[in-house]
Amino acid sequence: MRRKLQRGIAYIEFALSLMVLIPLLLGVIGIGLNMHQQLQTVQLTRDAGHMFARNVDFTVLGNQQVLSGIAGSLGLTATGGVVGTSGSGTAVVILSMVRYVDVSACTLAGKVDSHGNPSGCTNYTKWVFSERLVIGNNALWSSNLGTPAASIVASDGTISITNQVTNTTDVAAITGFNPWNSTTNTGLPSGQWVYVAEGCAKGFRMAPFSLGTNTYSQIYF
Amino acid sequence: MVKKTRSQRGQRGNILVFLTLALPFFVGLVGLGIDATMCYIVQTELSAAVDGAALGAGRLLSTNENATDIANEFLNANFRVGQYGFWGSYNLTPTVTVTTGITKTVTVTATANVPLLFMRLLHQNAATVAATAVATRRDARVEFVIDRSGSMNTSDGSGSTIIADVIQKAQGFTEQFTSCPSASCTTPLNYDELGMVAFSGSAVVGYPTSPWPASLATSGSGATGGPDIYFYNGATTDMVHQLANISANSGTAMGDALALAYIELQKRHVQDMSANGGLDTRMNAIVLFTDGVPSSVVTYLNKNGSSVITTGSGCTYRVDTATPSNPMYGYIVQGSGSGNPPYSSAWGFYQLASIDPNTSTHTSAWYMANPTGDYVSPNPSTPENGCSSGGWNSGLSNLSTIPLVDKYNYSVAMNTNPSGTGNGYKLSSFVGNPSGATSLYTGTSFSASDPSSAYQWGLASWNEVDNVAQAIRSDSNYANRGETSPMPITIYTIGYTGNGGTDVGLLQKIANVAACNVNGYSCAITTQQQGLYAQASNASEIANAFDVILTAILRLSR
Repeated sequence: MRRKLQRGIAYIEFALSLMVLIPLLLGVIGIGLNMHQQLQTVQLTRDAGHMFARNVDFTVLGNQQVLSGIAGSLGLTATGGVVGTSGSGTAVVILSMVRYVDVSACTLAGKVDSHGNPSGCTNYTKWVFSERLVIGNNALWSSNLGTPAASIVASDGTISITNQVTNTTDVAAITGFNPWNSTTNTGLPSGQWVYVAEGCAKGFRMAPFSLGTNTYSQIYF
Repeated sequence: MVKKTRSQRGQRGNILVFLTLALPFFVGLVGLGIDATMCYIVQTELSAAVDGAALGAGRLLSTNENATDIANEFLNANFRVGQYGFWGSYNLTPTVTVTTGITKTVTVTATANVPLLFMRLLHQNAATVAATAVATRRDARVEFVIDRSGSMNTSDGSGSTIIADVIQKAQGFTEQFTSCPSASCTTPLNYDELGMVAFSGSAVVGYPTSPWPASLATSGSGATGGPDIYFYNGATTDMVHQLANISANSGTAMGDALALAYIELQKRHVQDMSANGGLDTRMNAIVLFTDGVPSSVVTYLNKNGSSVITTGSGCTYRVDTATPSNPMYGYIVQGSGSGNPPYSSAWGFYQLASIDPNTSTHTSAWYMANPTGDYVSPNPSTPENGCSSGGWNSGLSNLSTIPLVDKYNYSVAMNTNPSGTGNGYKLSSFVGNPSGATSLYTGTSFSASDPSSAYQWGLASWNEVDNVAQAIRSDSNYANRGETSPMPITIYTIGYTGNGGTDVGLLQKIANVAACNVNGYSCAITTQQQGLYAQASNASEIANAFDVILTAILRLSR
């Protein structure tokens, strides 16, 4: 009688301990997979940005396929074109080429008066997009920098100089990065570009341990 | 019995006790896994951040700007201490090292502290992660050579013209280099040097616009001008504006253009040498864009010692003095109904833009807008006194032979490769020729004795280009500049095939591409600088071709 009882207690204890151990195990798996995905996202974004900054043409399907290969299990689909496709794959890479609109940019667009001062150059002293490419599932993430109107982005992802200096939707929300400041002699000099790569992948979902939050990374080159 | 009971009693609660005792170890193990992964993630992020910083600052290595500041700017934007996603990292400490000289290096090293979650139990509150990235940059001297022959005016198939596409891409290309941003910079060593030659029937220096007319001396105090550092400073005479002025018409003087580009590079080279204590290690590049096949030869018809002009021509200065006093400089253009080979007529003898005497009106900017400004028969000018004007027309009866060297003394006879195979114009290979011709060479070899033959002039212009390019790649003029070794010059070519075709054999040979093999002949010369040939058949491919070449020139590494 006592033996039977003891055996029962052992089972209950084991069950009790499993109630701790199994969630611990599942939690480790969930967090681990999520961390792994975070790593992959950073690496994908870095590689994409590095190539983009070195003028790899991501309007070409072949180059997008290379990126898709780098992404591996993140599920980045080479969508062709420059706007991505909604629902296609479980990752997205958003590449932006950003410039600071200074007098020479206004001059190039002809938006200066007879004295060479900006005139009608409405985006003067703002960061603007000069190129925007989206590869993969565009529904997954909207760029933290903002999105230029589809109508001004040409089929090769470029945005005309006139739109760069006048179109309100072309303004990029850049934080933490400063244009040239002649007083402090710091910041990015005029006429230079910044290449911004953003990567996002759909999170691994295993409630309540992993809630499927998208992993995201953004790097300036 | 008693013993057994005691031991059985002892077993009761074993698992719970064991688990309770083991829990710190489980948590420790799991914690270690999570802490280590977290550090690894932060390390990856830091590594990506310094990579961005090095590459971003590396682009600006050739400027007066403080690369350290710029690297920090990029680093702080990439690695945002205290923001979501960086796991509470703190104490980001960058170390930026910049080495100067012509080849510049920026090394960005950064460390950051990552707060640990579980290892705190063992009194380990934070771990330090580190990452390093390097970017290098070498100052460039680039001469742009742009074809603005009449065929460039045709549509690109997507609502624009080829010349407009090329101008736009060339402007973008120009802006990627580092220009002195104002009218004057005190340390020219920190900027790239760019220049531009545009060619139609003959070639003209489009940038810089002064001195005008372009000086042709390549040594001593006469060497002025050449590619400079002010190509994108917003002035109306800068290269971006000069490119915008270009309009297209007339022929394809590739030989004249390459020869001028070579002169331009040398002029700046000797000035940099003298300004920098005899040292100049910039990389030199010529970027040639063309949509066609060479169709003009730049000549010096009455060169001393020659008998190119017939006695029947009536020319007063049939043979010039040893030092040119009345030189008959000009270009002879070949053409056909469509403008493309096979050539049916040698059209005559015209004035060179580079020596146009009307320097007050016919400025560089004027020539950009007037591609046919050199389409002027030189008859009225002094050196052609007495010559039969009809003898310059189709048939060229004033000539007894095709002169064997051009105005710059480059041979127009066949260039033999050092390898002994694949001789000269036999490597001509057309892509996209509307008449279906596959090569300029039809089986008839070059012969100088028939100056009325457009075919022979076509071969001569092909040979001229081939020989000029070879001279450039080996810097054949270095001894004349008083130097002991040649400066390396790499030629890059872009061929547009969508418009009457281009000669891919010639363009590969000009660039001396490593894998050059045309019509079964190997044409690479391994002892000379090897460049790239990029081919384009539409607007986006033109952009791509420029990018390919830009990346090769900028040579940002890692």
